[in-house]
Amino acid sequence: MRSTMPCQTVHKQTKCAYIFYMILRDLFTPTTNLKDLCHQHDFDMRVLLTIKQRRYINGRSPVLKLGNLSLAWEFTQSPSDHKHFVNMLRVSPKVFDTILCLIHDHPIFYNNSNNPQTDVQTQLAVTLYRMGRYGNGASLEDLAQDAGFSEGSIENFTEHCFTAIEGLHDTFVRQLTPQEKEVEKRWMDEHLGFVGTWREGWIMYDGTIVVLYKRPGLDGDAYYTLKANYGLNAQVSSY
Amino acid sequence: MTGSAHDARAFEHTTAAMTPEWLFEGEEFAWADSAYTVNSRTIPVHKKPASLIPENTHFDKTVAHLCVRSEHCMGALKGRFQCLRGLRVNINIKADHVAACQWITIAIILHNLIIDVEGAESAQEFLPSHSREELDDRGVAHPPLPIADDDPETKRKQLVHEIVEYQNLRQSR
Repeated sequence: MRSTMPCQTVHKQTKCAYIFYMILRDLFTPTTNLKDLCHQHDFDMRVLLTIKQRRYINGRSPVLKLGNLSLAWEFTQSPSDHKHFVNMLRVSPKVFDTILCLIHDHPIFYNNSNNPQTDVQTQLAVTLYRMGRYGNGASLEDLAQDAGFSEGSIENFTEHCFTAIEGLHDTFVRQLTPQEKEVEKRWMDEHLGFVGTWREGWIMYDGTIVVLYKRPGLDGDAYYTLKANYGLNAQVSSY
Repeated sequence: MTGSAHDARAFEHTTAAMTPEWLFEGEEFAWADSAYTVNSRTIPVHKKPASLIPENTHFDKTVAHLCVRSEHCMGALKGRFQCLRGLRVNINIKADHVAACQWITIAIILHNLIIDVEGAESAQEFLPSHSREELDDRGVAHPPLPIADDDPETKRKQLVHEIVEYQNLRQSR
């Protein structure tokens, strides 16, 4: 059965235990010699001070990390394994290299400390791995175990990559050039079999709900959707 | 936009709806499903009861065929970046909402990047992993929004007329 006592810090527990030991010791083996008593007192004080000043009393063992990201790099070796790479990182090795090439110079990946960041390749891999998962597979703990980094690092990697990729926004999310519009309009002509005002409709709108994994703490009701879940409405134009 | 917002309401706040001049020139316009409001720049399919008129039915069918492409786009997006199927972001302050939107933005940027690099075909393989839940979120009554347009229906009528004429032409051959 769990103790109903209020939770005590390890420091407090250790201190109490030591004081208890002092009481028992002095009761059963009292010191009569003044010199010994002084010595004893001095020692006790030092022990109590050490307990107070030491940050970690039990010592902390590092969390074991054994990632399997290197598997992804192995998969790039032969084209027959590329589908495993896609399954893991959601993009083909070619696209991966393209993204890497576009973002690896971003200043966010470099700090002036003596402790350089994890290489950009790994940071991007972790981010893509994270973006390809939802539910408890996307929890920081699971991700940390799969990737072989700490939970905090996973958060940092994602943040870095997001900042770098956001810088590409205007390059890839942009207005179509007249030539590109013409290509879309031609497609429409061929699809329909006649040329008319219909070809001017080169774009389509649609909305989609991006479901959230739990009810937001702020304005939760505003996120409640028709399908009895909580989500964001994203409006997408496609062509 | 939050999830309680209807498609039409959410769309009102996009750049495409607020400054259509930026996106379109000349006679250009966009297709949409019946949840949207008709005007000269947005041509949705008909709602009931207008959708029961035979000419309109034919028009709607053709447009729906076109709109499947955009449903595929969403399917590919959510199939590839499945984080969009259950976004793990805690929304407790305003900044968190922005952070949640950032996930969507990043996914869309990467999606466009992938299409630029590999072409639209590469997205196809992610379609089966996404269920067709998209298709049932329409047909909800929404009060028509006032739009400064002489007759919002003009262009749609013209388009219906064109397709019907083409159909007649084909049948007479």
